[in-house]
Amino acid sequence: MTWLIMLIGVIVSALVQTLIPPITMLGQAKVPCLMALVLYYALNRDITEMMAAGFLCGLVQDLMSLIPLGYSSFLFCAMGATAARFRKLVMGESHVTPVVFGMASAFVLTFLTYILLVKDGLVQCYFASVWLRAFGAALLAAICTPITFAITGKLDDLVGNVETMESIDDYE
Amino acid sequence: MKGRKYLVYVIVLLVAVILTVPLPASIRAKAAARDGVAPFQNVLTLVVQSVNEKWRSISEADKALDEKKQLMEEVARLRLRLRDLEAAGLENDRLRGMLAFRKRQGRKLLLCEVIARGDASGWWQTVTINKGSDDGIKPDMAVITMDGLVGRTRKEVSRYSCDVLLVTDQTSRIACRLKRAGALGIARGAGVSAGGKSDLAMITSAPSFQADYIDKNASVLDNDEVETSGLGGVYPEGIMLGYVKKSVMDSSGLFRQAEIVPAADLKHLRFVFVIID
Repeated sequence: MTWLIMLIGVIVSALVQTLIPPITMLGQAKVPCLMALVLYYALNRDITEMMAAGFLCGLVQDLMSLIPLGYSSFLFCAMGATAARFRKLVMGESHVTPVVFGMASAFVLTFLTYILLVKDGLVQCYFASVWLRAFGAALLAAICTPITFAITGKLDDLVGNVETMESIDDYE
Repeated sequence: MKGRKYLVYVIVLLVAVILTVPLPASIRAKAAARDGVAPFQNVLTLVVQSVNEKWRSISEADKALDEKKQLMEEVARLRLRLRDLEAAGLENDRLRGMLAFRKRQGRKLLLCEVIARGDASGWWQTVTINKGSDDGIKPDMAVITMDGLVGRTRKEVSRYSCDVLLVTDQTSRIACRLKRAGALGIARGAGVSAGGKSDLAMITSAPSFQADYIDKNASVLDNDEVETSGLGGVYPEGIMLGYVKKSVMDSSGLFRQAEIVPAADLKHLRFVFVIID
């Protein structure tokens, strides 16, 4: 059932992220629903599920956008692994945790995505506008990440997905 | 535990594999994904538009009567203008025949519906239309509305749908000409959404579209019409691009820049035409 909930989460997040238009005043930032889903699995679930979520969410984002295949998967998996490293240092049940992690991840991911796209000559925007987009993405992540955590957590509880959380340190 | 550990390595390997997928395979995969998602996007877009229209009809009921009156006046004006244009068209045909010019054929247009706005990442200004290669659409075809140029079709054209890169996208470059002055330039997008019409909202928003490399001695006035020049091979000549909002000398002092308001209403695109020529 874990994988079914993940699949549903990926599809719904992708559709919501595509439908909600970018906000001009926030540097054309989009609501990062897919990133928020990966963060949920990074902070609440097994490392394997986090990697699978990162791969799937990244693949879907690349397929539904003009980003070359694989870029988002790579970035989401790296982001999830980094977030999972700090899992033991934060209060998982707190409402502030998803807000902080969401904002930080969205901010950093915007710049990393920009670097990868500029390297391939796929975007041509000023660096200053990327700052605005990064702040905008962080602001939107502060709103959508807790909502994603709450909904996905509730779905997991309803279907009884309670599995042992294994740390990323167990794989070293 | 060991099985899960291997699964992590498998996922890392998969990421490495898709990063090195050849471009043609990547394009085919994206096209197939877009075709699969297009029906759902279409349904969701229809639902959202229906809700928006219902809400608008409730909240703007008092404006409906005024709008009706204005529209009736405009219809009367347009009918008069149409009669004048028909007369001019007949005279034009006669003159062309006298000079033995080849009669200009109308362009072949394919009507398409916009089923989704933007891509999932937000880095590009695109819309998705509901026609693809099965209907004769190919990459780099011009897309227009009755008002003016919208953009061009992108490389990844699938069988039933395709993405259109809007003129306001930052990677969009269009060879243009100022209709009155005849000066040439290159119009480029700024990656910002555009309303399409010059109004209070446009005055307060960031410039979405501007023309560079215009001859510094050219006479450029506000509200000058800008059209495609036909140079560059993608956009046919004579398609309306927009109106000059203001023009300044660029930082080098060698050329003039003009901020353009797009003629097409890019924020409310519903139906577009692809030029199939």
